[in-house]
Amino acid sequence: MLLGMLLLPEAARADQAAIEQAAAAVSFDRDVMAVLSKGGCNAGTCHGNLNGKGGFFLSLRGQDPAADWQELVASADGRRINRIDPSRSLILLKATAEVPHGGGRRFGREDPEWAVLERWIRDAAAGPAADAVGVAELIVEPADAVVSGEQADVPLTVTAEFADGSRRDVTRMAVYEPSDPLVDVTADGVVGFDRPGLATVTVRYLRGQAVARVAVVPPREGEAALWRGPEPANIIDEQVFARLQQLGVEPAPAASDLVFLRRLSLDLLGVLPTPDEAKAFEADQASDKREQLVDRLLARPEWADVWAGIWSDLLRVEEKTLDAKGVELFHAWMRQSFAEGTPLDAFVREIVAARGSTYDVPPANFWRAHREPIIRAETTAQVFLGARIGCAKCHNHPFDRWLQDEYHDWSAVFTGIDYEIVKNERKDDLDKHEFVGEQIVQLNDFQERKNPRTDAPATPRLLGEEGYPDGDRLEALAAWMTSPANRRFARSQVNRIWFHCMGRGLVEPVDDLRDTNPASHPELLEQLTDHFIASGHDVRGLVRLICTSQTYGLASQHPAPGPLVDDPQLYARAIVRRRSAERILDAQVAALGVAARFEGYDEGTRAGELAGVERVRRKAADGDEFLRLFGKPERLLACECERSNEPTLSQALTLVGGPGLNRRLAADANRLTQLLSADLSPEAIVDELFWAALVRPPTADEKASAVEAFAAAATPREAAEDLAWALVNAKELLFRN
Amino acid sequence: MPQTRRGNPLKRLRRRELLRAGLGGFASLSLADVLRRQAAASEAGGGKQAAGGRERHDTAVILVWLRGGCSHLDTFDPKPEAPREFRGPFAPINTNVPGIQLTELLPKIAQVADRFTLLRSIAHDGGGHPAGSLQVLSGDRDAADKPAPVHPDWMSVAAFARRHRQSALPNYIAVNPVDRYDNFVIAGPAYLGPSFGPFQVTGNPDAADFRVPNLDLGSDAAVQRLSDRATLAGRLDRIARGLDTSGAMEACDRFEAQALSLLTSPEARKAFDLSEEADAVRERYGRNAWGQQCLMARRLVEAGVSVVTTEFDGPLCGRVANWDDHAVNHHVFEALAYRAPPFDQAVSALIEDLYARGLDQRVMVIVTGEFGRTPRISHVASSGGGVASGAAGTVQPGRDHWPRANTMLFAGGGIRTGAVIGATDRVGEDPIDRRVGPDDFLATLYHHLGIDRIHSGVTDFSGRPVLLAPRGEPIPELSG
Repeated sequence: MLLGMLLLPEAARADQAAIEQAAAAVSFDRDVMAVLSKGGCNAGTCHGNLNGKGGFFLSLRGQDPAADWQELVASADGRRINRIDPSRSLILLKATAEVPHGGGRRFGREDPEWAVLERWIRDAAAGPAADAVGVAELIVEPADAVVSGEQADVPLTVTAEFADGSRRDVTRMAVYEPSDPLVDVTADGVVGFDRPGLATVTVRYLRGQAVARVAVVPPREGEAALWRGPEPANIIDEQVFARLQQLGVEPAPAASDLVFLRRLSLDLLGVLPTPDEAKAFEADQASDKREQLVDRLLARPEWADVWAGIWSDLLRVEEKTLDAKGVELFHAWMRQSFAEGTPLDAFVREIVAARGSTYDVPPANFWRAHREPIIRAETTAQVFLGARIGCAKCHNHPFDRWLQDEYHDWSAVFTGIDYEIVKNERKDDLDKHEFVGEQIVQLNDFQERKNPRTDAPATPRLLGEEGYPDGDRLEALAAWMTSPANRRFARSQVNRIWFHCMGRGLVEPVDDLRDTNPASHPELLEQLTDHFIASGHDVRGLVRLICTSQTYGLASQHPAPGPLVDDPQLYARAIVRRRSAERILDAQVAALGVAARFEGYDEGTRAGELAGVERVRRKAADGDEFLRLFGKPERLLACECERSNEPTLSQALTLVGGPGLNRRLAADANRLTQLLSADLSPEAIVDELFWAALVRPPTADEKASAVEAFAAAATPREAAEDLAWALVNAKELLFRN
Repeated sequence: MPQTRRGNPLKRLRRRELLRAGLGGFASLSLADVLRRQAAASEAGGGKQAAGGRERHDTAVILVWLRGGCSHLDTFDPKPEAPREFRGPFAPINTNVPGIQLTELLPKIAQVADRFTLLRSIAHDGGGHPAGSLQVLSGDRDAADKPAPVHPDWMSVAAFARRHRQSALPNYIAVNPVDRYDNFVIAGPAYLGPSFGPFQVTGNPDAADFRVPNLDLGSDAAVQRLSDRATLAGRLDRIARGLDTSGAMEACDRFEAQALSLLTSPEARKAFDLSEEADAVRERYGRNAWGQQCLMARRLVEAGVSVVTTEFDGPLCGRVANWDDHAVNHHVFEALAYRAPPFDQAVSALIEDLYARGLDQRVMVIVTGEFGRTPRISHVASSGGGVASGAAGTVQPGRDHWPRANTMLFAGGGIRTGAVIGATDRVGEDPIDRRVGPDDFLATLYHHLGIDRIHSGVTDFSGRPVLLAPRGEPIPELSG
């Protein structure tokens, strides 16, 4: 929807209307509870905190009106409200900061919030009504706005539809939370942009939530208003380009062949192409050579290493709990599944339904790694269904649909999984998390688990469903989860696959799919989900579709950068991000031709091939240490977020002066030795080192600088080492672009 | 208005700007400018303000960590009246503050009692080393051990809160790091991200051949070589920084410049160089690992570092290399007598020096471990002979874990000194006055560092805002 210029609403008028509404009749459920949210009183950082604030406790975001009423009128000896002189009530004096308030001034006497509370107290401060009806739907308009301008104020209108069918304008009493901190929303719902950009605004009123998507785009006229994007190659481009066109942004040109090759090799295989591969690809004249390359790389064994690595991060494949043998078996099983192209639904079913010896049935290690019902419930929801339900453990989920009861009913599903510990040769008697030795995963009957809210036993129930199907419990769970009818599964896996190809999920964070966190391209996510289901959950097929899109192959550099072009959720250009620990180390190793050392692994093993985290206890070779410093996760959380690609000082010290790099530079049998002994000119050596490290020839300037270094150095060896040092430290090697 | 149009300034910082701002100050170093010509440095966000009005940017904390847990009865909380099954062999002695007594193990510390305050009533319920450490360092409330922290420790939080600060040195340095107990990670930045963890100095700074790992290139020629390499890299590493919208590439540049500076600039390295100190000073701290660790900590805070942690463990502790004086590990009293002299010397020197150099308002020193030790003495067979432990099978006295009571020492930091806060019962088992929990301890530290516990900007992995030490308040008796 394209709106024209919008005018600021008359805020004062809106306030007046709200004040009049308040004066008319005040309901505790609809009005007072809304004020407690609007004022931020019941936020988690304020009185909604488990510990309250200043002795005043409210339920988080108003999930328990009855308790809040008690707290307002009865607790603290009833001194929070003053029935004789309502305007002298402590809650009003605090909120207006007429008496000192840790939370500062929330509103003034002129505001409708004040009017609502004052009127409510004046009218005897009634509590929740027995027949109160909740919000059935919250409607925000416009739900998807594109506004032209260098800056703009976009007013939202919010209507609550209650369960009894009645409707009410709640624009002034809804709470607005913009996704982008650079965007502000006024109390009466005007979204303000200081510059062009995109924002998603989550709107809350009582238990109702809705989302508005707002974009402000620079005005374009005449010639400039024509959109000249490339022809879509597939459904991905259709959707991505349609959104770009809607916003008047053209995509970057296609990346060069060499950049495309390097990107694709890193994304699909985790390794750099060799100089020979790169030169051959550059020389290839076939018009469909990029598609051919995608197919060739998808058939290589390293493809399975990458996907076994991704899932090993997620499923906590680490030695302390699984032991080294379990890690090796589970990882090898995953690797084989991806190599053979096992459909992802079958892969997940095998994991979830697995039981038996962790040595005989490798996927049973999933249950060995997840030893508590709550942990199992949270991991299963997050990894397989893209639902972060953890918040609902202690209170209803503040941003999602999950209720505390649903959390505990779902957790009850995961009781009864038990272990026969054949032997435990734990090395550290005090470390209860450590297991060494075979275990047999067993399935017993459901065990009673208490729901802490009701203090009654929880009823095992599938997430978001009623009841639990008959038959083998884990088989039933696996079948329900991966069924095409349960789009959550396919959708969340599509999002993850997209994330690993594109560098950003259609939904971010990648495992947090919910109504209040919409996809950047909602239709595309649904289309890809359809495609994925129809393909039989074929991971390679989806990767092929993504990597053969124009979108995937765009350059990272755009001729006209700006806030919209640079916004990664639009995919107007390729996303640049730091390479993973494994990829940086493997690239360094490939460039210099000397392997890194990993304790307990054969010489020559690549970082991307490692099964676990620490094969030999408390012993780290230079390669292990490098991976730890560069953010390879310890695999204690079932979350992509555990991996950190954030730079640190320790990483910098390792790169500029670390023992591993120095050893590789100084080694007798490295690429430098090979080049220097081949009687090559400095120019040729420079060329070769650029190809090996950066997969391209040097530019003229680069070549001149590098050759000059050869002339200045004491020996050619010294010059070659310095050049190699500079190249493996280059951001072009540390980053994917 | 409940929501203002231009809200909380911190909220308005994008992640990228946070990163930029965080790595900011380094731009002020001329070397960085020379080496990194990509102009990334020019965008340093030094002016960005963290939230919270009363930011105190120049304060610092030194934590001396007694890993394993020190017996409070035998050191800072003597119980001469306790029955013999509790009482150790060490007699109480007077300090230079009338009414405050320590045991005879700590004569030097006793002479500076007017410059510290003892909190004798810190208590929690983390009975294992990991749980106890996590409770004290990160305010975790879980009584059970876990393999790694789920919340950031106060040191990382401080590094995060001070991320805007301009300094050539890392803001949080661990001199013999507080990081693990056996296989358990007991401290770390958790969801804050690894860039807020410490710069680690390992090894014995008293050793003749001590060099700060990764920091000493060994020769002038090596320094020159690295500078040459960096110059060449500066010419070749030309990828446009703006391509990366996450800010990570600029962060890489900044850390690289900081690393190169630490490696090549004499000023930065000097802060670690104990040979700059007069021999008399080095002697006063004690020519052993603990003494020289403390001296390095003092040099670092003097050079502007916000947080320095230093762990007292290793051979000076006795056979098992920490303070975990179960009878199976050590003869508790022999062990304490063995390690008391270097402990007494290092801690008293640090306190004295802090005041002598006028750092006593700015720098707070804390001495503590994860918990105290069981007042009732146990008698169990040693599991092996060695320093301060009889041969295997020898029944010897020991004390077990005791989270229910411990003593913490606070010095400097502008606090009221020469005092005792709280008290334990007749046998040292439980506080009878002013029970203080880990959150109060953490709130005290955050207060000293000027960190707003509500609006710190810390969010967990799910983006949920985190309150720091929500159940605590700064210990009021420490206020000067």
